[in-house]
Amino acid sequence: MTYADKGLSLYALMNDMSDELINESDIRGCAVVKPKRERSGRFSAFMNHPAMVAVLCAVVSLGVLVAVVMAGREGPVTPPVGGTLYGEESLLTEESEASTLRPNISLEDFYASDVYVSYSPGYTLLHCEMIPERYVFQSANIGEEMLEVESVGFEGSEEQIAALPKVEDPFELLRFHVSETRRTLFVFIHDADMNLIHRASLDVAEPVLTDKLAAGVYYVSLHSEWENNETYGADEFVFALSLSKEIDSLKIDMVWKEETEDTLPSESQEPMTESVTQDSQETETRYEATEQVGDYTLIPHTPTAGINDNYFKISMTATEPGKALMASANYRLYRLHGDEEELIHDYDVELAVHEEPASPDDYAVYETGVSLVWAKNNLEAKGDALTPGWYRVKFARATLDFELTDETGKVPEVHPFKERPLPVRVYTSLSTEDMDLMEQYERVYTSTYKIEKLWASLTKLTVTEANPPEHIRSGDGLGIHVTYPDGTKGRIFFWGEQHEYFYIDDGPWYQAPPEEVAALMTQIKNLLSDPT
Amino acid sequence: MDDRETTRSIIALYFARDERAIVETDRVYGKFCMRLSEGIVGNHADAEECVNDTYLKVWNTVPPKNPPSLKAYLSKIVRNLSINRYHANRAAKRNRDLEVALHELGECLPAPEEVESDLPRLLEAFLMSEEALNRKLFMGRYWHAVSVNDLAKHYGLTPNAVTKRLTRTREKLRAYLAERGYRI
Repeated sequence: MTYADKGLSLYALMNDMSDELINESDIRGCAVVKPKRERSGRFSAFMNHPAMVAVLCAVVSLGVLVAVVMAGREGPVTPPVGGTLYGEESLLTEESEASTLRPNISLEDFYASDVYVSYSPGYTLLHCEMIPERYVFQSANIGEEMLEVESVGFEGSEEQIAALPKVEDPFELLRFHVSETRRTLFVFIHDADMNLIHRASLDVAEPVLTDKLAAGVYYVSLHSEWENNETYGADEFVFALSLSKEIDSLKIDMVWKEETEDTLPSESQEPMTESVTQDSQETETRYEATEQVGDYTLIPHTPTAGINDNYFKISMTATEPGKALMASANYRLYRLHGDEEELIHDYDVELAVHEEPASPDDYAVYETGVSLVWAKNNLEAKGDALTPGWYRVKFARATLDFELTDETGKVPEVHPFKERPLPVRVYTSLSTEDMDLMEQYERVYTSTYKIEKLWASLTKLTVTEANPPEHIRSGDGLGIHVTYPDGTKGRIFFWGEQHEYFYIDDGPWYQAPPEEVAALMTQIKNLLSDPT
Repeated sequence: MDDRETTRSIIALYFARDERAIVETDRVYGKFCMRLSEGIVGNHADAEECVNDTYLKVWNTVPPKNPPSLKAYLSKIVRNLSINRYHANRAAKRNRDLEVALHELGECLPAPEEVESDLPRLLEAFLMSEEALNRKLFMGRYWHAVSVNDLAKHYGLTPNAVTKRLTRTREKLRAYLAERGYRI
């Protein structure tokens, strides 16, 4: 056994490490919406980072001249007077070119739908390159690690990278990022003392002139915001911007975002950290003031389908416009015997809604679903059952009566596979502890011949509507993930000891004879070994 | 929302058998899972499938399982599936960075049959006695499959410094295990 083989076995054995160690050491982050108060803490930590102080000193003493990077949402970047962005006639001096042209990476891992980026104080942006799903800001380091050249961040050969389109305007990339993730991205510009002097949203198109920036060292940080106005701290994403001359004629294609004007620093230029803290407090207060949940409505979804397919869409609306929603309410299910209610299920639904309305005039609305399956499980555990009949659900102040019907065994009017187009791509997988068995089913099919064969078998299944017992929803399952010609995706899951129960996307449960499913499974295995 | 709150709200959807649980899981943890898997399998397509299978497994097991940290739970599953996938693919396409990490692990730990289920506890005990930064670097490299360069960027160190710290930690781990009678 080689060290690497041994390492792989040990690597697998390590899987059972504690959650604390795993979470503590994760540096990749995830798209968790973070409260603003956390953001200010991290930003403060950044400000107090000893490296930051050193970098500031280094940057000031170097006096490096660098191009300015600003952009608008639409149209090309307007260059600063006297030069072009990153072009031949840029503001770079010979001296600065010597240091700044050294290839380096300052801001990496800027993924299309992720704003987890690491800060790199002391880096000055030169230009960036875009690599599909991996964006690399290439820059020169003017900080304390000036002489270090690290070839990190790139994936692919030099030829591949060279073949990629150059993005001369880094904000072009950021706008792409914004549109991809439907977030608002703010740019903050700080002076060398980290006072906030400019804040602008990149998704506002109207260009304005500003005379706020003069010669000196600036820092730019980016903050993104989710659609629901929760700000995701991207404070780590800071880079230095050093300007060599008066740039009061610089045109910046960004404007103040009107609704945030009250949080902008005054003429006295409040430090950034203060601004963020105040912002957080306002948000905190707003949430506290809106703990009272608004009106609820209950909407039955597929009310006449099989019992297992019933769930309730719960729609909540805030009581006042401009208020956020926080919801935690009690859900009760009653069986009706005439006018008499029999409580059969009761639990708290904690929805953790922190939804802010889009504008001060809007009501915040939140919708969720509550399934009957959990109620059904509880009843079965008590030897009871969720049988057909009339029921009542109460959620907060809303009440809804509904009838449960059981259509198990009914042949659907339209065969569930016949109404669907032939997919262009299919991926089959079997969830099982038996890795050998799992591998027999794992495959992507793009061959029309194979997909047609597979689909023909599916359309031939004898299908009836089903009401499968709950326990079959745990255990091994066969998944068929499909991509239709129009690009939409779907999935079919077969469950049960013999994989006889299945559903398509979010549709109702069906049942097929076990022998037909067994033939289907055999066919899938055969298709895998079919070289045509 | 912190991880615990996020976990609670998403787990509630799983318990309600609301399929938006998977959508939410993907929204919040999808990229995290993809990166973890890609760090192991070394390519996007395989990682995508591992992550899809992870969601299926979570859907299968929650309930009855009720993990206190969904992120940790997901990462264990996605890591496990990715390791299996990597093992299956290894002859054809090796992930050079992971191979280096595996080699390093193989050098400092006893044979798997010697440690078996003790390994996580032994490692935890050792790592908890270590300086926090070294602990995070070790886990980052050998659990999350993060490259040395990425660790360096994140922790504001040079790659050399990260490598040195990892080497020292491995040497200490080796000695730690030797003291407890394990043969490396």
